[in-house]
Amino acid sequence: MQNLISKNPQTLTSNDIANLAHRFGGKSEDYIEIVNTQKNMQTINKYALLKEIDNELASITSR
Amino acid sequence: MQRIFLKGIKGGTGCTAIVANLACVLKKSGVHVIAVDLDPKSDLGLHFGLPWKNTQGWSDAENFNDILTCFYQDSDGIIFLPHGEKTPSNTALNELIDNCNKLDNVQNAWVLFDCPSHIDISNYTLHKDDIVIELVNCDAVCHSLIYRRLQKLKKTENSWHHFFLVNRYNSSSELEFDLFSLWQSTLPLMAPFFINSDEVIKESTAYRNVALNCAPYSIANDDFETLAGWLVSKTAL
Repeated sequence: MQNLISKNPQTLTSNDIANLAHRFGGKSEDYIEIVNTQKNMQTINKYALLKEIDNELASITSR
Repeated sequence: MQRIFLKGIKGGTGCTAIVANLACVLKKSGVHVIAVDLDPKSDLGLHFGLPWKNTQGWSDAENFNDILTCFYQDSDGIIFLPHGEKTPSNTALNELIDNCNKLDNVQNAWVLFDCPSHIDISNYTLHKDDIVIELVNCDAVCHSLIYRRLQKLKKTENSWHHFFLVNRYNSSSELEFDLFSLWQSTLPLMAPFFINSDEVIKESTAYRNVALNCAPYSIANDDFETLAGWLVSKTAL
């Protein structure tokens, strides 16, 4: 008999986020996942419009 | 009463078809559903079998007592309210939304509002238990609009539950896969599933019906059942 291995999903669902917001307060949109950062950057750098938006958002948050 | 506001983040995202199909799936699972068309293009009724010549709706009525005569019931038992021909003011829109609370003669009814994409959701009087679902397609314009919306949401004191839902997802598109993967891991308000692009949705509308009745074993119907189940879980939180 094979042992079934359960894996936790890598992606947070909106339920997880809602629970975080419920537990720690604030708005649920303030909680973002910090995994897959490298893959996300590859996607953003692949498309010019995504890169422009990302740069703009980064400059807003650093102000 | 549970109020769900569905709205495209831009025009043509497929919002009205989602409202009609979601209403049917919810009704079949035993939920009492009222679908209200807030969009001046007034095409929600077509999905429920309303004759094409019937153009009148709530926007043509003088008061809420007159509006009560504008409701229809389709063959599945879904009660729906067509928009009509006039373009209502923002005040009239909000009056109708408020007055819909009086329709709760059936316990635990769900009211689905088909909202036009051109009216910002903040123009509606929303409560803390309301759920807003903004329909997006996996394209670069929606990517831009989602981030603009998030910036707005951060600035406003929104009390309602706000989510984005991907509609017409094409699994063979590299761009759509890239965008959906990115959104899933960076956007907390993104629903954890998508509605696939499926001919069944278009075909069922052409046959004057919804996916559940025309193709109950279709991917489209599975997706709508997933959406309905997810919404039920959200209301339980």
